Amino acid sequence: MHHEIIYLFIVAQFLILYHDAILRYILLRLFMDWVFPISSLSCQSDVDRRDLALSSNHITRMFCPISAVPNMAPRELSALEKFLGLKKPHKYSTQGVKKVPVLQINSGPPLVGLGTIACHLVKEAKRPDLLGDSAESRAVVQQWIEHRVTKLDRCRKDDVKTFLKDLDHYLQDMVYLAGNHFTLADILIYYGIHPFMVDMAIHEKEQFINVTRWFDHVQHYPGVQHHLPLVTFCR
Amino acid sequence: DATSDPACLLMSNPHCLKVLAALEETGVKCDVQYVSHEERVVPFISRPVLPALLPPTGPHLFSSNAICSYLFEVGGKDCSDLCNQWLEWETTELQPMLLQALHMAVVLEKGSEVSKVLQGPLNYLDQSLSKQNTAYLTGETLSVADIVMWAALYPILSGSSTILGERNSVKAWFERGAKLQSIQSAAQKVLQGKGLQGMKTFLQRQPNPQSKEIQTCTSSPAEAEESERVVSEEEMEAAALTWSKELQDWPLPEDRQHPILPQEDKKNILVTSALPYVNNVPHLGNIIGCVLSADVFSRYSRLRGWNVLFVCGTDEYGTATENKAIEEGLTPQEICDKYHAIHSAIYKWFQIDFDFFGRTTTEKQTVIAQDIFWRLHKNNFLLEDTVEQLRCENCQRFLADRFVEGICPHCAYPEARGDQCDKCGRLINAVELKEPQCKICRKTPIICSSKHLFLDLPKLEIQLEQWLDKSTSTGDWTANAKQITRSWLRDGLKPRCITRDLKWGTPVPHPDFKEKVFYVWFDAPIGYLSITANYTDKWEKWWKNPPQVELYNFMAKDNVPFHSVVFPCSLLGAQDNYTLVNHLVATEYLNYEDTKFSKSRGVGVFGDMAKETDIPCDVWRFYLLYVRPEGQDSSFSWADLATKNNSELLNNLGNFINRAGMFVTKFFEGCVPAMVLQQEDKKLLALVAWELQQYIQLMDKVKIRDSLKHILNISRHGNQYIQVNEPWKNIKAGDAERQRAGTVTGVSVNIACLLSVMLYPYMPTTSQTIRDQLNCPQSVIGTMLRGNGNFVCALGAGHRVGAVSPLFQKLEGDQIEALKKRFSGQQSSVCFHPQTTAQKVASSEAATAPAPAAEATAAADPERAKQLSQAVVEQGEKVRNLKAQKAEKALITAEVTLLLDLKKQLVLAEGKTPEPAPQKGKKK
Repeated sequence: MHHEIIYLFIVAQFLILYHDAILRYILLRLFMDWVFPISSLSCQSDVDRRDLALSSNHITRMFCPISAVPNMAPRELSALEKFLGLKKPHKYSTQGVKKVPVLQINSGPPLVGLGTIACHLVKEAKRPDLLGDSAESRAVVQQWIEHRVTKLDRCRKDDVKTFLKDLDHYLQDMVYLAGNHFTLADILIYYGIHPFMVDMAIHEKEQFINVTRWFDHVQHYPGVQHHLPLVTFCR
Repeated sequence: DATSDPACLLMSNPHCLKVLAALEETGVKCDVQYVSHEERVVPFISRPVLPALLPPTGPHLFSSNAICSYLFEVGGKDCSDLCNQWLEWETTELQPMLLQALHMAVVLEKGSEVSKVLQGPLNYLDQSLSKQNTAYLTGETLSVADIVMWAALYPILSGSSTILGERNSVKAWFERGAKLQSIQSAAQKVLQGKGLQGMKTFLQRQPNPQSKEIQTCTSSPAEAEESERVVSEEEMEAAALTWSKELQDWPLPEDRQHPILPQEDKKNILVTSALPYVNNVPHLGNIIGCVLSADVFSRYSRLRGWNVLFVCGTDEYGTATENKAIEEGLTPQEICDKYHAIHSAIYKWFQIDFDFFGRTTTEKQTVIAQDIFWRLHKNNFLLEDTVEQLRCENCQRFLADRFVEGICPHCAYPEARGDQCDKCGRLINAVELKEPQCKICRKTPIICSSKHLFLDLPKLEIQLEQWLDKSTSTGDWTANAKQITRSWLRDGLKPRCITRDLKWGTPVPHPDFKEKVFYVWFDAPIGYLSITANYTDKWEKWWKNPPQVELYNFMAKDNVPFHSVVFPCSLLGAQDNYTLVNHLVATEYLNYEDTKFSKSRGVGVFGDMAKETDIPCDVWRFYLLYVRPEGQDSSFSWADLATKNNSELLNNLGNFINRAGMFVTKFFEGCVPAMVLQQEDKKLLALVAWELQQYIQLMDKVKIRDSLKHILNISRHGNQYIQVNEPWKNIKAGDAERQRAGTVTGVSVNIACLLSVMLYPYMPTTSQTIRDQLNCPQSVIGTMLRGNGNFVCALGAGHRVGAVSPLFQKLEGDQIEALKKRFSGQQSSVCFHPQTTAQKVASSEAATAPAPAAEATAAADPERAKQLSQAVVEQGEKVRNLKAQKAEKALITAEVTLLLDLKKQLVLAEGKTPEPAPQKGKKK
């Protein structure tokens, strides 16, 4: 009963269950390789990864919910600001054991919470399209942001598989989380699952082909992947 | 607005209350369906989530807050930043506490606890509302945030007027909502007038919110971020009360009377550790996987006052022993005697406190194994069949499974072994291999037929499943043990051959099978019984006494099927009221220096080398237990060992205990000073009591690694306490300060005493040293871990301590580097595979013993080996990938050839002769 064996068994099941999806995935890979030939083919070395402070809490992150990793949220919010092209960087503090991010604003009391602040930044940058272009898609965006802060941030390494499985199922017929348009939900879920994706072996990632496809898409979306290392999916 | 969206809602789910209220409040038209708990409405979520809403366009909405926001937006009300913030707060902060409170009130029926649980969020709500001084959460008009929050709080607040207490702002705001028609009618629909009880079914289906909380903080010893636990008044008083209790005179674990037999009025625990195969010197993986884990648990169990018997022994039969004997020019018995002594010495050095360490080559083994055999025979659970076996004419013998290699009949992998294919993982019958080769001489073996006996597992399957259901649900089986067992049952059981054409084994007593012996997998587990029988004639009181005895089996995960399926089947079929395993504790694998898989088995840090490192046994024990592969694979690393020794043992634990002792010696002439407990001291006692309780709860569940964390937490609390109170300063000041210094010193030295007891299972020598240094009364060891833990003041005022000296030594960088180099040897990758009974079956009589280090170095090139092993890994991945993508056959064959070539080069670079072919590294 070794992993390899179990893994092969899973692959076999996947082949049976998802052969059409796999075919689609292969086509997509070919397409992606064509579009982003250098970035997706260059396998990042481990040294690059280690240079990033984010990975230095590797062990802590493996065992605790992400929220326990200090300053994760402020870092994400700063990256989001850069993506949005906001000129003046904001200062973030955190509160409580869970290190919930706090933003002091001029117009009123401080804003608390990753989702809340992220939405505020999007509005500040006058990019309402990132929050969804209809009532339905706005609700979907809110829903995934909520899912990020409630489920993903409390996920342990074991549970994340369930999260990814569901996400994979969801993305089967979606380009982005809210359909055909890139939104804030994509950015925040991308930030949220990045630590897990970095640690996953290639064959593990391949169990979630739709997530993989979407993830690669998002990390190559201009300006998104700021503070995080590229995750590679090639062999 | 002509929405015809069906919203699927569920009765009695508190989240549905929000949606129903929002619907009513906004007046949005919507088709509402009520569905059952179990229905999966949202196709992409693997568990049932409700409520859910399917809008006219787009995917399902499954979050109640998103649904409410959507309904409000459709109804013409947008959500502001502040509104967003309240919704986020509701899901992240309020809901977890609310769920816990509801669970308390409804499932555990402890309504009185509710206000304590909700204290935090309600205070926050009250402060925010009074600061804002507005009628609603986001201003002077009602928003979706109000509806969501009212609906969330309504079930619990409407039933009790006391929970809110003096929080007047929340009160006023809540009453505004409670009066609303929308809230009232939604509540009526969801709770159906039953109040909180209306949600019972829903809540019972939720995971216990508290236990989840505990789990999240248990995974990593000491590395999780510290968070200040809030200590209640009651906890402090309870801790202070325990503190003032007396020690009790329980018998000491050292004083146990042999033979230990089950007792009527006691919890009787039989602990076994997988029998290590005699042929190999055990490595660290072996030691942590079985004997050390079992030792910690049995030591702990003795402190709990349970009646424990811990047996183990060497597993000695099989061809591997025969081979080794030929190799060393000894008889098999002499080989066993020699290696049994080596095993004993190693375990002795590691202070494994067996009640009896026996062996399988005894008369008792023959008697018991043959008795079980005859019973199975009589009960018709044995089948007779002719088996075709491979025989190498050149080597003049039947080839054991792992002595044959060939092409896998299922996946065409060219290097499949006689029992299993490394590539597709399927079990193989050696004669099914295409193009079989003798692994020793590479000649093609011939097929001979021979009559053999089989255990009829399919016939026992139903009985087995019934027993498994009971055992796994009532006992503490590790997750991997359950999962491996399930997968065996799912694949269906097949008859298993129990005889072998060998000499060195337990003879089969049946006249038709005279020249044969029992196959090791059948024979070896019976070793547990025969070893106990060699310990005491009354062994049946342990092994045929399921109502009185709880059996714990410790092993690494590769051994699980033999203990959960095969051996239980033998015992069930024998129908002699045998004690079957109640708690199956399996570890994952321990890797060496982050190298994930082994190219050559049997090389690494061996048990007998550990003592040559000059690192004390207790530090080895501590580190191995600290990285115990509990729940997931873990890694042994020299650098980490040094870090843990220096940071945890030296700077945290050792530092605290030493300081506490030194203060008594230096400031109070070696006598524990009088202690006058203040609030702060009581708070510390409560914190310590809580950690102690966690330790006990986790240890009871055999979470050995997790509970170690709580020992280190206590000394961390202690260090902080000393740091804040600065007794070294106070001692020089006035009388009041002097008294304070006395109290702090006295409390600290008593915590050190408690730590010595908690450390006993992990570090027995250190535990004894601390108790000697502090001159602790003998009875502490028996008192403190009883019940929920008793942190009593064992060293009262006036108690005289002994000579105090440092407990641990720093491990220096160069020392560790030297060790690392010494043990990396010619091997670039090493993995500790606990080699025990089952694995011997799996790797049935491995071709040759691992090449001795000296022999191998001749042509070895570690650097090249490292590169090559990397290349092999990559090439292996590539081949797998091609196969997964069903690439063309020719392409695959070409890549496979390349892979084989790389492997051959690797063998050479590792300095081994390619013949016989090396053991294929098993990827884990």
